[in-house]
Amino acid sequence: MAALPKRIIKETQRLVSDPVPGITATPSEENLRYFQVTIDGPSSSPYAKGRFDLELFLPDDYPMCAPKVRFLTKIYHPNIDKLGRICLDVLKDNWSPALQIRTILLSIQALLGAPNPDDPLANDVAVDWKSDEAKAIATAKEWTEKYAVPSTDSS
Amino acid sequence: MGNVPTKEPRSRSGSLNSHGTNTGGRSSRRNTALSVFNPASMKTSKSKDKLKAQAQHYNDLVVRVKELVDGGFLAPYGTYKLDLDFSTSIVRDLIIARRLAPFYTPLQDFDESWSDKEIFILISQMPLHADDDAFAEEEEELDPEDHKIHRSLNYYKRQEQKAKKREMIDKMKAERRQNDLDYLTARKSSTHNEDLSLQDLIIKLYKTAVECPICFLYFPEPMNYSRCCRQPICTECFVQIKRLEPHPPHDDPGQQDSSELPHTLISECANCPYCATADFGVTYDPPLDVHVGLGTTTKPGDYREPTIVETVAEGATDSAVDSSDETETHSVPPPTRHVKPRRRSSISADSKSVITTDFIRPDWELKLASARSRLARKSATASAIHASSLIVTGDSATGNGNRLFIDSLEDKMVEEALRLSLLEEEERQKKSPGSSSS
Repeated sequence: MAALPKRIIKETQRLVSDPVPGITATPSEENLRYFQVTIDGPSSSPYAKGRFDLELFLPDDYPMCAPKVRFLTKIYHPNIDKLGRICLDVLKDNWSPALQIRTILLSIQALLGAPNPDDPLANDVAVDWKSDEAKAIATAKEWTEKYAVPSTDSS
Repeated sequence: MGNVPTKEPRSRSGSLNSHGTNTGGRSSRRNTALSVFNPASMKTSKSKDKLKAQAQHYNDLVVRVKELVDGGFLAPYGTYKLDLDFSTSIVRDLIIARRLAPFYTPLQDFDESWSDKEIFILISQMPLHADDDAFAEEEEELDPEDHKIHRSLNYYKRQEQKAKKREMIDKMKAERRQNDLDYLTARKSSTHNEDLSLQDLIIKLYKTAVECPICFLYFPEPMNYSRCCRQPICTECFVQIKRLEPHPPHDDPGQQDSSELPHTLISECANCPYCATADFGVTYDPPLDVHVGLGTTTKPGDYREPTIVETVAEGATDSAVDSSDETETHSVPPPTRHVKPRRRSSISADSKSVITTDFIRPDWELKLASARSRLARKSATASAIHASSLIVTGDSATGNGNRLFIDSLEDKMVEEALRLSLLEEEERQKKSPGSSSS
């Protein structure tokens, strides 16, 4: 296997030694560019108490291109589609090599706290969100409870 | 590099004129004639030039001990993949002119508690290049015609070019390996070698190494600094940053430019990775007390650390006079002459001291233009196919009443094809003087 760039090694070490509250990222043993990620829903959002599983992959060109991140847990959010793909500027054109795994995951967590139905990825969700926000938030809460809250308090 | 600027445009415009006076029907044939029978000699000389330029590019990516500037080099260590797209000749000139930090051998780790001796041993055991096995498994690019039974002439041409490119890359890799071997052997030998940086110089450079915030590797100060927010960036990371690939405009109403065609492609300049300011550029203030290698009379092996700070400036001024051996750098006064304080504020992108990501890629406009004309050709083909399928269905339904329509459509298609190929010619002509200057 190709040698891992120093940057990825250091980022991984720092994620372990100085973890971000509410976020975990563990590299896979077979592929150190592949991370299993969990993000806790922000407490003031409909995703509160939920713990969402994501996968993150660092492409060959990282850090010159953004990591690929996807939700694995089902989530009701206007900027996240059925396949878990995320519509977030810093994952696309606004990526900067000065950003890191840590900052990207924090941005995703912030996106949970601030859905943006005006730039939707899941169109149906965005329409719901705009026509009846209270109902949409209720649905988001419901989905969070159904799919993202660990049944037993294992954490 | 570049084409033969005198011969090329003349023969091209000549062939254009002779056909331009033809009737529409014949000029449409001209289109195919151009691609198939076009004077072979012209094409080969052009592709020869291109090959030569490519060979030079790969040749420039080899770190050579003799090409040393202030303890650093003119070619990258190899932290990133080597499919680099910047102009190596521009970057080399900038480094020699001390307008961009040289490519230093990076330290993987750094600890302030390390002794001078430890730093020297560490550096002197480092090869000049990163292990290129890291990117050995380069994915074979697929050719759109790979799966076809009947392949075009261009397919074989492309395959040939690919093979030549692979050959060049292999040659470059072999030379990188060989240079590493020679260098490390020379390092181990006890005889004095004036081309090798001395212990004093290495310690001086690396004792205060700082981490590049992008690759997380450690480099000697001074680094390049972003023009906008004054953040450090190593040269190897800087040359990686470039404008976005040509892409359709984002459907953001704020960004829409009414003067642009709806189906055109755009490419934004690179933003600062740290503060997102547009037109990313860096400045470099060369060290005042280290002035060795290319562009100076001091060989790295003759470097002595000045003991008193005052003598440093004097010594630097003396050695700064001898930049006469490079013609390229004459416009830039040797930076050591005026000792200016390090800047604190941002500098405008068009300031002379700023090196932007476009500056080291003079071909970016050309690339955008060719991506645009590729798209235009594609959509012209698509509408032609679309139109012809309409004709077929129309024909069967209403008989030959559509003859007139078909004729006018055919004329239009011919016109469009003509327009596109004229555009292409124009570009090619623009390209030839441009590429010869770089």
